[in-house]
Amino acid sequence: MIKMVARMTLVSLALVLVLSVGFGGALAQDDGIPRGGIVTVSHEAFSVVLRNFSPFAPTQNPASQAFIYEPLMVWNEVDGEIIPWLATGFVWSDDLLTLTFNIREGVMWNDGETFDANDVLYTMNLTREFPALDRGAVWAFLDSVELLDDYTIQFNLGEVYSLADVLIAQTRPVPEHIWSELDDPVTFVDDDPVATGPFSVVCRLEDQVFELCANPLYWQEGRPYVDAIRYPAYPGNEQSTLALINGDIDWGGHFIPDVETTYAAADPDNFNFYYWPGGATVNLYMNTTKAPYDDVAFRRAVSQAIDYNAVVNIGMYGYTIPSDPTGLGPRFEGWASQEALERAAELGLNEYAPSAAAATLDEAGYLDVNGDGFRELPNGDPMSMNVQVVNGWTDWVTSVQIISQNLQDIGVNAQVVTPEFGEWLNNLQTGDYDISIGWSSSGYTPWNYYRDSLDSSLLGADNIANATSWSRWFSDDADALLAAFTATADPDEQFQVLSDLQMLFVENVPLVPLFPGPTWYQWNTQQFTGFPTADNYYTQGSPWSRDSNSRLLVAVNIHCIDDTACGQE
Amino acid sequence: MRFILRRLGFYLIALLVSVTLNFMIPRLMSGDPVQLMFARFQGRMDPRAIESLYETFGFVQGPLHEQYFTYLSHLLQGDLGVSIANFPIPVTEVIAVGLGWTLRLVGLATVIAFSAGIFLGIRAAWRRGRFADSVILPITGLLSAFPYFWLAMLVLYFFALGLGWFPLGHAYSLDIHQDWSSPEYLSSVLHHMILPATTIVLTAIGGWMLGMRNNMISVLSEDYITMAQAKGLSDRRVMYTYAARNAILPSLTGFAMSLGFVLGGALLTEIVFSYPGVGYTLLTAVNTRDYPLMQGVFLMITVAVLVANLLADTMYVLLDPRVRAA
Repeated sequence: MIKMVARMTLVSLALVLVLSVGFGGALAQDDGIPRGGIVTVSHEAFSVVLRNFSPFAPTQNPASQAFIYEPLMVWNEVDGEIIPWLATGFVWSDDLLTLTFNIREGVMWNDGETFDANDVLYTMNLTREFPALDRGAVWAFLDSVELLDDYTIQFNLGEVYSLADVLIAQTRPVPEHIWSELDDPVTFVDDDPVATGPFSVVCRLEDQVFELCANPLYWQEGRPYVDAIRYPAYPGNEQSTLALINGDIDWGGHFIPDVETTYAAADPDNFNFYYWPGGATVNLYMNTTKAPYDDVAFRRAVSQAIDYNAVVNIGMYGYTIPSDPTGLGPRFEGWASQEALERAAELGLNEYAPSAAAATLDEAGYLDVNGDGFRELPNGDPMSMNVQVVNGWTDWVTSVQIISQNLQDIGVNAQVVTPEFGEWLNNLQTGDYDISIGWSSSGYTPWNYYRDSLDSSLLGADNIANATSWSRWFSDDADALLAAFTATADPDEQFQVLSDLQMLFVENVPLVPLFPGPTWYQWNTQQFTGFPTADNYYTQGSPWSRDSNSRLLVAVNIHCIDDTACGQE
Repeated sequence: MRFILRRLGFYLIALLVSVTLNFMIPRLMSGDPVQLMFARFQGRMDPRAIESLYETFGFVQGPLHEQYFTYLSHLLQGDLGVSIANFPIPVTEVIAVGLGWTLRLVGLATVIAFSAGIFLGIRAAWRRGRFADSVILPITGLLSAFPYFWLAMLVLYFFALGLGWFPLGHAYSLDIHQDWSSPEYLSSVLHHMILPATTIVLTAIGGWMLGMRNNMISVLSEDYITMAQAKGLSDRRVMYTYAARNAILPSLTGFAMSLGFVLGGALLTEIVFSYPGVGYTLLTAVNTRDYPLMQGVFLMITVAVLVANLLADTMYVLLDPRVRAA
């Protein structure tokens, strides 16, 4: 298996890299790295702290992911590596129906019990017994799990699903000796977690702040370097921005308008920000079940009409770049299909050209027959549309205002509407909208982006468009390609399938990619260092990364700038 | 006594109606809490995992009448259910964290605003055209017309960020451990309360003052006031015991109402000053379509308003003999 070999090389490469930068290094105090200090983190708005650290609660405290309960392996979004963590690696069988993970030896739960593959097995069976706990939906493709020995566990797949490795690697094992005693693991409020994470000791929890202290039994010797991570409550962006400017936050994940002057200028030597343009692409969705959005010519005209530079530079404050027509973005450059890109260039997609857009509409029969300044549908009926954006999401609102102006410029009567978040989502899901801006899905490969937008199985029985299938554009070709991708692990075959998907995407324009989502990230070096920087962006820096574990790489790496800076607070 | 009993009957009916409304109103909003929760992961959760969410939140997915009867029977057992947005924490626990802070901050500010407003209103009416009437009244009127958010931000930027006299937010300094027996913590709590409380008092005082002044003026034109003065009673006695006692009655109803609404929290204050409280809890509940939490907060507010009104009615009986006769 070429793919298997490739993955294994990747894993061993990652191992070497990890060891070379010191994960699991043997030198404890002699490494010259200062210890101590409390790092203050802020990335989500909350007002009071509630004691709930269950790794399964969908509403969980953001810290339960990664810092408390660790995954088997950490997927680094920036370079695509899968870094060994609680598991040291995995092997696929030749028929792609079994996947064997090797579990790390010498790891202890923070109560002193030994962690081994039995805990992983217990966790897997727990999520099978209680589907409410299967947040990774792994039982959608798994058939059974069996123990080979105390440090080897085998996953048997019911069907070939080549992305299973990454999904299983995200599993966060829970301790069997604690969880097996529970009456109801679904409603278990894990107030005093027994976990393996670097900051898994809840040492302070008050109405407006909580702190996670370093786990003294952590398996990476000498790490973490800091004593604790503190989460203060900030109910809104204004409050966290003020705190950032005041130097109260060391590690932030907030959107700050005009960040150079509002934040960085307050202490240019220490206040840093870097918005990696590797987030999932933000798109313009069109309801293809309605006219004129069911007409590919109209959708193509929209793609030609938008001033992408203005959207990115004015709407998004220049914090990102215009998307390419395939929507893959810089993170998945290696997957880009030259053919698809050439075809997109031929069609003029994702290039600001109002005259070309107008010509496309003329040709397709959208003309201003009654002379009111706006085009009508080819059958002569009036045409007007609402472009939706979530109320209060200021960067998106400005972007959509520019887009609606662009549409007006080519004679399309478009207005901006700003429903509240819940209503906005409901409109998209029930198909009660014309055009809307929206996010998309990210994953280990670009497959998730296309699957979550184009897979016809996402249209529920109740006619609800799940995930980001809001355009409601489905085709048998797309379904077949999406299925073909996960049925093989051969990189060449996968590349070909994805190229075909890109071609299908640019030919049909089911949605218009606008820009890769910037990942908000600020760090303050008055006391701490070791953060990913613009020059050394070793992993995703933003502490806001819901299911992503890459912040774990940052957390075990941050340390005091010197022995005096991090005095007792 | 009959009056009180009749009122009690009325409050019981009001409670029953509001319990049903508390159930219905949140569910009239468009949107599904499970889909909203999935959406908040913004493409970082596998679409197939939504099944696990529906599995978890089955309790808000059944037919409406079933949910309603479950809600009623749980309510009778004093069980408000489990919050969706804070699953699996019970609603009562979620509300409890913010409630103490809301009672202290908004409760205190409301009492201060009412007392000060009533006192100033009495003075303004008694000595019309003098300082309280011609200077303080227009100023408080102007302040109450200010958009609250703007006033609070202005105060925060000027006194906290600019002059540094007060903290930028939170209910206490996060460098001090929360401990109600520590004097250091208590003084920190008081220090953090000053700015938010002041902004609430500033915007609320004008209404009480104006209302009291106008009631006072109409009472002062009554014959019994002239009579009292003719009898040679002291100004103080006439002002407080004869005029104010009667003029305060309409304001008391308003005060009872606002005491009940104290439990709803002060959303904007909580946001501007990063202050914990019920207002933000309710906002989160609305944004996430957390039906059980919304029900819980609404129920609490309803009960509080009803109880406060009942108290006001009782006060009426004590203060106004005419009601007793009726």
